[in-house]
Amino acid sequence: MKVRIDLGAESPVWRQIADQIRALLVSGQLRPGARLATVRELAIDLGVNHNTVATAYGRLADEGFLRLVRGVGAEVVERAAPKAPAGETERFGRRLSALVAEARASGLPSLTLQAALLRAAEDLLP
Amino acid sequence: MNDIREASLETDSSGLPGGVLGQLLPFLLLAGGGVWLFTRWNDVPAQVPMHWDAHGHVNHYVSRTPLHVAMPLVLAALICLLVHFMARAIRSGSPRGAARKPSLRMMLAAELVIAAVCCAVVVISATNGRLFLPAMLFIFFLIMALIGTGISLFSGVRKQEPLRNPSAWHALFYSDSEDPALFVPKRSGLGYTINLGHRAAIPIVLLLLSLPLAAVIAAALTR
Repeated sequence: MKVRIDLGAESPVWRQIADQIRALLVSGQLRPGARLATVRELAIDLGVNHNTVATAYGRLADEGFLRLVRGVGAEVVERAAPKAPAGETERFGRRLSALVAEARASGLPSLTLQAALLRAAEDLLP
Repeated sequence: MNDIREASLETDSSGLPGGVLGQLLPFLLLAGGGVWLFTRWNDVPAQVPMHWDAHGHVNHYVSRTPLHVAMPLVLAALICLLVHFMARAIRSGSPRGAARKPSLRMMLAAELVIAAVCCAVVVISATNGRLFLPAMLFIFFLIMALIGTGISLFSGVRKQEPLRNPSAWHALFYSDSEDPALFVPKRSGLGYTINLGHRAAIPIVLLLLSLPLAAVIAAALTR
Protein backbone atom coordinates (compact mmCIF):
# COMPACT_ATOMS: atom_id res chain seq x y z
CA MET A 1 0.00 0.00 0.00
CA LYS A 2 1.47 3.28 -1.08
CA VAL A 3 0.82 6.96 -0.63
CA ARG A 4 1.54 9.30 -3.50
CA ILE A 5 1.96 13.06 -3.23
CA ASP A 6 2.28 15.82 -5.78
CA LEU A 7 4.32 18.75 -4.46
CA GLY A 8 3.02 20.93 -7.28
CA ALA A 9 -0.64 20.30 -6.47
CA GLU A 10 -2.86 22.98 -4.93
CA SER A 11 -3.85 20.75 -2.03
CA PRO A 12 -1.34 20.83 0.85
CA VAL A 13 0.81 17.74 1.22
CA TRP A 14 -0.54 16.82 4.67
CA ARG A 15 -4.08 16.81 3.23
CA GLN A 16 -3.01 14.65 0.27
CA ILE A 17 -1.51 12.12 2.70
CA ALA A 18 -4.53 12.20 5.05
CA ASP A 19 -7.02 11.89 2.15
CA GLN A 20 -5.28 8.85 0.71
CA ILE A 21 -4.95 7.06 4.03
CA ARG A 22 -8.59 7.87 4.85
CA ALA A 23 -9.64 6.38 1.49
CA LEU A 24 -7.75 3.18 2.35
CA LEU A 25 -9.36 3.13 5.79
CA VAL A 26 -12.95 3.60 4.71
CA SER A 27 -12.57 1.09 1.88
CA GLY A 28 -11.33 -1.52 4.37
CA GLN A 29 -7.93 -1.93 2.73
CA LEU A 30 -6.40 -0.79 6.00
CA ARG A 31 -7.96 -2.77 8.84
CA PRO A 32 -7.92 -2.30 12.62
CA GLY A 33 -4.64 -3.50 14.10
CA ALA A 34 -2.59 -2.56 11.02
CA ARG A 35 0.59 -0.63 11.78
CA LEU A 36 1.44 2.32 9.55
CA ALA A 37 4.94 3.52 8.72
CA THR A 38 6.27 5.84 11.41
CA VAL A 39 6.16 9.61 10.89
CA ARG A 40 9.94 9.56 10.46
CA GLU A 41 9.90 6.72 7.88
CA LEU A 42 7.17 8.30 5.79
CA ALA A 43 8.69 11.81 5.99
CA ILE A 44 12.12 10.55 4.89
CA ASP A 45 10.66 8.41 2.09
CA LEU A 46 8.59 11.32 0.75
CA GLY A 47 11.28 13.93 1.41
CA VAL A 48 8.90 16.17 3.34
CA ASN A 49 9.05 17.71 6.80
CA HIS A 50 8.18 15.43 9.74
CA ASN A 51 5.49 17.92 10.81
CA THR A 52 3.69 17.44 7.48
CA VAL A 53 3.25 13.71 8.09
CA ALA A 54 2.56 14.27 11.79
CA THR A 55 -0.24 16.69 10.88
CA ALA A 56 -1.81 14.13 8.52
CA TYR A 57 -1.61 11.36 11.14
CA GLY A 58 -2.88 13.75 13.80
CA ARG A 59 -5.93 14.64 11.71
CA LEU A 60 -6.76 10.95 11.21
CA ALA A 61 -6.24 10.31 14.92
CA ASP A 62 -8.68 13.16 15.70
CA GLU A 63 -11.20 11.53 13.37
CA GLY A 64 -10.84 8.30 15.36
CA PHE A 65 -9.10 6.21 12.69
CA LEU A 66 -5.62 6.01 14.22
CA ARG A 67 -3.98 5.64 17.60
CA LEU A 68 -0.62 7.38 17.79
CA VAL A 69 2.04 5.81 19.99
CA ARG A 70 5.20 7.83 20.56
CA GLY A 71 8.26 6.01 19.20
CA VAL A 72 6.17 3.19 17.70
CA GLY A 73 4.04 4.91 15.08
CA ALA A 74 0.39 4.81 14.16
CA GLU A 75 -2.00 1.92 14.56
CA VAL A 76 -5.38 1.58 12.89
CA VAL A 77 -8.13 1.27 15.50
CA GLU A 78 -11.71 0.05 15.38
CA ARG A 79 -13.92 3.05 14.75
CA ALA A 80 -17.64 3.19 15.25
CA ALA A 81 -19.28 4.93 12.28
CA PRO A 82 -20.20 8.41 13.58
CA LYS A 83 -23.70 9.74 13.15
CA ALA A 84 -23.69 12.21 10.27
CA PRO A 85 -24.55 15.73 11.48
CA ALA A 86 -27.74 17.34 10.23
CA GLY A 87 -27.41 18.81 6.75
CA GLU A 88 -24.33 16.73 5.93
CA THR A 89 -25.95 15.25 2.81
CA GLU A 90 -26.71 18.72 1.45
CA ARG A 91 -23.22 19.96 2.29
CA PHE A 92 -21.68 16.95 0.53
CA GLY A 93 -23.96 17.49 -2.47
CA ARG A 94 -22.85 21.13 -2.76
CA ARG A 95 -19.14 20.21 -2.53
CA LEU A 96 -19.60 17.45 -5.10
CA SER A 97 -21.51 19.76 -7.47
CA ALA A 98 -18.72 22.33 -7.23
CA LEU A 99 -16.13 19.66 -7.96
CA VAL A 100 -18.09 18.30 -10.93
CA ALA A 101 -18.55 21.81 -12.29
CA GLU A 102 -14.83 22.46 -11.97
CA ALA A 103 -14.03 19.21 -13.80
CA ARG A 104 -16.53 19.99 -16.57
CA ALA A 105 -15.09 23.49 -16.89
CA SER A 106 -11.62 22.06 -17.31
CA GLY A 107 -12.91 20.00 -20.26
CA LEU A 108 -13.56 16.54 -18.83
CA PRO A 109 -16.34 14.83 -20.86
CA SER A 110 -19.43 14.00 -18.82
CA LEU A 111 -19.15 10.28 -19.55
CA THR A 112 -15.58 10.18 -18.26
CA LEU A 113 -16.68 12.13 -15.23
CA GLN A 114 -19.57 9.78 -14.59
CA ALA A 115 -17.28 6.73 -14.81
CA ALA A 116 -14.77 8.38 -12.46
CA LEU A 117 -17.49 9.16 -9.90
CA LEU A 118 -18.80 5.61 -10.01
CA ARG A 119 -15.30 4.16 -9.68
CA ALA A 120 -14.53 6.43 -6.72
CA ALA A 121 -17.76 5.42 -4.98
CA GLU A 122 -17.12 1.70 -5.58
CA ASP A 123 -13.50 1.95 -4.42
CA LEU A 124 -14.51 3.57 -1.16
CA LEU A 125 -17.26 1.09 -0.30
CA PRO A 126 -15.95 -1.48 2.18
CA MET B 1 7.14 19.88 -13.99
CA ASN B 2 5.15 18.05 -11.33
CA ASP B 3 7.16 16.63 -8.46
CA ILE B 4 5.39 13.38 -7.65
CA ARG B 5 6.67 11.18 -4.84
CA GLU B 6 5.58 7.81 -3.52
CA ALA B 7 6.16 5.89 -0.30
CA SER B 8 5.03 2.66 1.28
CA LEU B 9 2.60 2.93 4.19
CA GLU B 10 3.88 -0.29 5.66
CA THR B 11 6.30 -0.09 8.54
CA ASP B 12 9.79 -1.52 8.14
CA SER B 13 10.91 -3.62 11.08
CA SER B 14 14.01 -5.06 9.40
CA GLY B 15 17.26 -4.13 11.12
CA LEU B 16 20.82 -4.26 9.87
CA PRO B 17 21.74 -7.32 7.75
CA GLY B 18 22.85 -10.41 9.61
CA GLY B 19 21.31 -9.30 12.91
CA VAL B 20 23.47 -8.74 15.97
CA LEU B 21 25.73 -11.73 15.24
CA GLY B 22 26.27 -10.68 11.61
CA GLN B 23 27.18 -7.16 12.69
CA LEU B 24 29.56 -8.53 15.35
CA LEU B 25 31.27 -10.94 12.93
CA PRO B 26 33.97 -8.52 11.62
CA PHE B 27 34.88 -7.62 15.21
CA LEU B 28 34.93 -11.29 16.25
CA LEU B 29 37.24 -11.97 13.29
CA LEU B 30 39.58 -9.21 14.46
CA ALA B 31 39.41 -10.49 18.04
CA GLY B 32 40.33 -13.94 16.67
CA GLY B 33 43.33 -12.35 14.93
CA GLY B 34 44.32 -10.75 18.22
CA VAL B 35 44.04 -14.07 20.10
CA TRP B 36 46.13 -15.82 17.39
CA LEU B 37 48.80 -13.12 17.70
CA PHE B 38 48.80 -13.41 21.49
CA THR B 39 49.30 -17.21 21.36
CA ARG B 40 52.22 -16.85 18.90
CA TRP B 41 53.80 -13.80 20.48
CA ASN B 42 57.10 -15.60 21.31
CA ASP B 43 57.54 -16.53 17.62
CA VAL B 44 57.17 -12.94 16.42
CA PRO B 45 60.61 -11.63 15.27
CA ALA B 46 62.27 -8.71 17.07
CA GLN B 47 62.05 -6.62 13.88
CA VAL B 48 58.62 -7.15 12.34
CA PRO B 49 58.25 -6.64 8.58
CA MET B 50 55.38 -4.21 8.01
CA HIS B 51 55.62 -3.04 4.40
CA TRP B 52 56.59 -4.66 1.11
CA ASP B 53 57.48 -3.20 -2.28
CA ALA B 54 55.97 -4.28 -5.59
CA HIS B 55 58.56 -7.08 -5.89
CA GLY B 56 57.66 -8.55 -2.51
CA HIS B 57 60.77 -7.22 -0.68
CA VAL B 58 60.37 -5.78 2.79
CA ASN B 59 61.01 -2.02 2.84
CA HIS B 60 59.79 -1.14 6.33
CA TYR B 61 60.23 -2.85 9.71
CA VAL B 62 58.75 -2.03 13.11
CA SER B 63 59.97 -3.10 16.55
CA ARG B 64 58.10 -5.91 18.32
CA THR B 65 55.61 -4.05 20.50
CA PRO B 66 51.96 -5.13 20.84
CA LEU B 67 50.69 -1.85 19.38
CA HIS B 68 53.02 -1.95 16.37
CA VAL B 69 52.34 -5.57 15.48
CA ALA B 70 48.61 -5.38 16.13
CA MET B 71 48.23 -1.97 14.44
CA PRO B 72 46.45 -3.45 11.35
CA LEU B 73 43.87 -5.04 13.68
CA VAL B 74 43.36 -1.77 15.56
CA LEU B 75 42.99 0.20 12.32
CA ALA B 76 40.58 -2.40 10.92
CA ALA B 77 38.49 -2.25 14.10
CA LEU B 78 38.26 1.55 13.81
CA ILE B 79 37.33 1.37 10.11
CA CYS B 80 34.73 -1.35 10.77
CA LEU B 81 33.29 0.72 13.61
CA LEU B 82 33.05 3.73 11.31
CA VAL B 83 31.37 1.67 8.56
CA HIS B 84 29.01 0.17 11.15
CA PHE B 85 27.91 3.62 12.34
CA MET B 86 27.50 4.76 8.74
CA ALA B 87 25.29 1.70 8.13
CA ARG B 88 23.20 2.58 11.19
CA ALA B 89 22.86 6.16 9.98
CA ILE B 90 21.79 4.98 6.52
CA ARG B 91 19.33 2.51 8.09
CA SER B 92 17.60 5.23 10.09
CA GLY B 93 18.19 8.30 7.93
CA SER B 94 17.65 7.24 4.32
CA PRO B 95 14.53 6.50 2.28
CA ARG B 96 13.36 2.88 2.11
CA GLY B 97 14.23 2.40 -1.53
CA ALA B 98 15.64 -0.43 -3.63
CA ALA B 99 19.22 0.69 -2.91
CA ARG B 100 19.05 0.40 0.88
CA LYS B 101 19.19 -3.34 1.48
CA PRO B 102 22.00 -4.04 -1.04
CA SER B 103 23.96 -1.04 0.29
CA LEU B 104 23.74 -2.27 3.89
CA ARG B 105 24.72 -5.80 2.84
CA MET B 106 27.64 -4.44 0.84
CA MET B 107 28.83 -2.44 3.84
CA LEU B 108 28.80 -5.57 6.02
CA ALA B 109 30.66 -7.51 3.29
CA ALA B 110 33.23 -4.70 3.12
CA GLU B 111 33.68 -4.81 6.92
CA LEU B 112 34.29 -8.56 6.76
CA VAL B 113 36.82 -8.17 3.95
CA ILE B 114 38.64 -5.33 5.75
CA ALA B 115 38.81 -7.45 8.92
CA ALA B 116 40.04 -10.55 7.02
CA VAL B 117 42.62 -8.55 5.01
CA CYS B 118 44.02 -6.95 8.16
CA CYS B 119 44.18 -10.35 9.89
CA ALA B 120 46.10 -11.66 6.84
CA VAL B 121 48.51 -8.69 7.06
CA VAL B 122 49.16 -9.46 10.74
CA VAL B 123 49.76 -13.13 9.86
CA ILE B 124 52.34 -12.11 7.19
CA SER B 125 54.13 -9.77 9.60
CA ALA B 126 54.09 -12.11 12.58
CA THR B 127 55.46 -15.04 10.53
CA ASN B 128 58.31 -12.84 9.22
CA GLY B 129 56.90 -12.95 5.68
CA ARG B 130 56.91 -16.77 5.37
CA LEU B 131 53.20 -16.75 4.48
CA PHE B 132 53.48 -13.73 2.18
CA LEU B 133 52.41 -15.47 -1.04
CA PRO B 134 49.45 -17.52 0.26
CA ALA B 135 48.22 -14.54 2.29
CA MET B 136 48.44 -12.25 -0.75
CA LEU B 137 46.50 -14.81 -2.79
CA PHE B 138 43.91 -14.92 0.00
CA ILE B 139 43.65 -11.12 -0.03
CA PHE B 140 43.31 -11.11 -3.84
CA PHE B 141 40.56 -13.72 -3.60
CA LEU B 142 38.73 -11.66 -0.94
CA ILE B 143 38.84 -8.50 -3.03
CA MET B 144 37.56 -10.34 -6.10
CA ALA B 145 34.78 -11.86 -3.97
CA LEU B 146 33.84 -8.39 -2.71
CA ILE B 147 33.68 -7.01 -6.26
CA GLY B 148 31.54 -10.01 -7.30
CA THR B 149 29.25 -9.48 -4.30
CA GLY B 150 28.84 -5.81 -5.23
CA ILE B 151 27.95 -6.61 -8.84
CA SER B 152 25.48 -9.27 -7.74
CA LEU B 153 23.84 -7.07 -5.06
CA PHE B 154 23.45 -3.97 -7.19
CA SER B 155 22.40 -5.54 -10.49
CA GLY B 156 19.03 -4.06 -11.40
CA VAL B 157 18.93 -1.58 -8.50
CA ARG B 158 19.66 1.37 -10.77
CA LYS B 159 16.44 0.88 -12.70
CA GLN B 160 14.31 0.47 -9.56
CA GLU B 161 15.51 3.56 -7.69
CA PRO B 162 13.85 6.78 -8.95
CA LEU B 163 15.92 9.98 -8.95
CA ARG B 164 15.12 11.88 -5.77
CA ASN B 165 14.21 15.54 -6.04
CA PRO B 166 15.99 16.38 -9.35
CA SER B 167 16.29 20.11 -8.52
CA ALA B 168 18.41 19.39 -5.41
CA TRP B 169 21.29 17.80 -7.34
CA HIS B 170 24.37 19.89 -8.12
CA ALA B 171 26.68 17.61 -10.12
CA LEU B 172 27.48 14.77 -7.69
CA PHE B 173 26.19 16.59 -4.63
CA TYR B 174 22.69 16.64 -3.16
CA SER B 175 21.51 19.49 -0.99
CA ASP B 176 17.95 20.06 0.17
CA SER B 177 17.37 21.62 3.58
CA GLU B 178 13.66 20.68 3.41
CA ASP B 179 14.47 16.98 2.97
CA PRO B 180 14.65 15.16 6.33
CA ALA B 181 16.78 12.34 4.82
CA LEU B 182 20.43 12.50 5.91
CA PHE B 183 21.46 10.07 3.18
CA VAL B 184 19.87 9.76 -0.25
CA PRO B 185 20.45 7.22 -3.04
CA LYS B 186 23.10 8.37 -5.52
CA ARG B 187 22.01 9.34 -9.01
CA SER B 188 23.57 6.10 -10.23
CA GLY B 189 21.46 4.13 -7.72
CA LEU B 190 24.66 2.51 -6.43
CA GLY B 191 24.99 3.41 -2.76
CA TYR B 192 24.21 6.62 -0.91
CA THR B 193 25.42 10.16 -0.70
CA ILE B 194 24.98 12.65 2.11
CA ASN B 195 22.33 15.35 1.93
CA LEU B 196 24.48 18.46 2.41
CA GLY B 197 21.39 20.51 3.24
CA HIS B 198 20.73 18.41 6.38
CA ARG B 199 21.83 20.10 9.62
CA ALA B 200 23.91 17.04 10.64
CA ALA B 201 25.70 16.81 7.28
CA ILE B 202 28.47 19.37 7.80
CA PRO B 203 29.61 17.98 11.21
CA ILE B 204 29.66 14.46 9.69
CA VAL B 205 31.65 15.58 6.62
CA LEU B 206 34.13 17.44 8.86
CA LEU B 207 34.48 14.37 11.09
CA LEU B 208 35.13 12.12 8.08
CA LEU B 209 37.67 14.56 6.65
CA SER B 210 39.44 14.84 10.00
CA LEU B 211 39.98 11.06 10.29
CA PRO B 212 42.70 10.74 7.60
CA LEU B 213 44.34 13.87 9.06
CA ALA B 214 44.29 12.31 12.55
CA ALA B 215 45.79 9.10 11.10
CA VAL B 216 48.64 11.07 9.47
CA ILE B 217 49.33 12.98 12.71
CA ALA B 218 49.22 9.74 14.76
CA ALA B 219 51.63 8.07 12.31
CA ALA B 220 54.00 11.04 12.51
CA LEU B 221 53.91 11.05 16.32
CA THR B 222 54.61 7.30 16.65
CA ARG B 223 57.50 7.38 14.12
